[in-house]
Amino acid sequence: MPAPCSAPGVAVSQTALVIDSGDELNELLNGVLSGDGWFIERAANNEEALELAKRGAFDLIITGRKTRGPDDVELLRKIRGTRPHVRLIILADQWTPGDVLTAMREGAFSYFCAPFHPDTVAETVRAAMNDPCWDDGIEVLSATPEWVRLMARCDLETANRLVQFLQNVRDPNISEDDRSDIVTAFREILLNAMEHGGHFDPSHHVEISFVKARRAVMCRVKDPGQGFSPDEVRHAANASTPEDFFRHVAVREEKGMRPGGFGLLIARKLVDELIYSEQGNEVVLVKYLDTPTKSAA
Amino acid sequence: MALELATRVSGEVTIVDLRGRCTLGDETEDLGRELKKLIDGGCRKLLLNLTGLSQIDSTGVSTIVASYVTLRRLKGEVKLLHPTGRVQTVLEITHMLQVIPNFEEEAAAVASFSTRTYTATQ
Repeated sequence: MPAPCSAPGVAVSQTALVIDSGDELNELLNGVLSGDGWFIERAANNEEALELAKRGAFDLIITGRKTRGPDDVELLRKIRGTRPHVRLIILADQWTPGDVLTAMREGAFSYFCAPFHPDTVAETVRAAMNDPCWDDGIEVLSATPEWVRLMARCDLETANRLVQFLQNVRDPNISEDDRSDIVTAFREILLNAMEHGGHFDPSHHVEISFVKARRAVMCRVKDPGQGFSPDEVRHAANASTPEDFFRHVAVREEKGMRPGGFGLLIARKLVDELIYSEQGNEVVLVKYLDTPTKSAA
Repeated sequence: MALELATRVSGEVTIVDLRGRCTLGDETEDLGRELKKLIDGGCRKLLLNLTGLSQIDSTGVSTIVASYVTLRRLKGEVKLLHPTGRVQTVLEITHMLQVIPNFEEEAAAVASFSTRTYTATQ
């Protein structure tokens, strides 16, 4: 893994390059960036953006939603050749499922496939503006359309970025409901791994694999901790019934712990299988798909 | 959208309007602090309006449970108003909607605090 943080601080120039996205989104981005004192430069298209980026350094670049995802990834690749730490957020009306993965591998800060909610874009822009060291947070180790392996740094910002990428992997063979279930369950397990296994220590990393088979999606998460035994989580929501739901809260309170175990409870309900290794620091989530995917046929 | 909180009062009931995402992070810690402040300040009838909530995770659930347990010990009550979509799904999964009284309409929720008998879902 690269050194924990290699990017320069945000406050060097605070200049953003925004590629035209139409009035509504332009106005939103203008409000977010100007409100925090950023200087904004505008480009009509990717070609103009590339020329501007070659001439001057930008802390943040936001692509226009009118461009295609693959073109934006190509722009990212060219810009990062000379400006390796630039934060680039891709907004794309037209995209393919593989674009998100390529963008993550090439070091995009985030990726949004249309339709996207302006508030979510604004929130990600703010995260990009405030995160001084981000570009070594996610490292894609290997990737095919069916199997992706990556490492993620143990911090909340990296978890949020990774989940945002995952939310935008819009595989047409996976229903919206299944995708939401998988993302929600994965997020809970990822944050458990980062918190309990990695203690949110940014020098630690979580290993992650996604596998898409014909009839299932699988995800493996391995944290850097020592693992746990089921006895340790006996007094938690996941081991309670609605009838004795608050018993675990009282026991945990006596031990100085907040109510817990809800993440496991949520993940168990949203995927079909949740399988822990013997050591307890490795877990596999399995979600069976109603309709088999075509790619692995 | 990050979590936004607004607090208002209807009779003896304190209503906290939650808007945005109630997930692990500073804003949900703010929610915990705000609920603690209200309870420490004497609030015993607390209605959490979830109408504008777009997402909740295990940390958000844990925060609500903590305030529910604290108020129950103080002979007070927490109730939930109008969770929808994925928020409703997560609250169902975590048994919140079986355990904590929840309502579709604010008027009914507020009125329920004055009566001593109710079922979990009304």
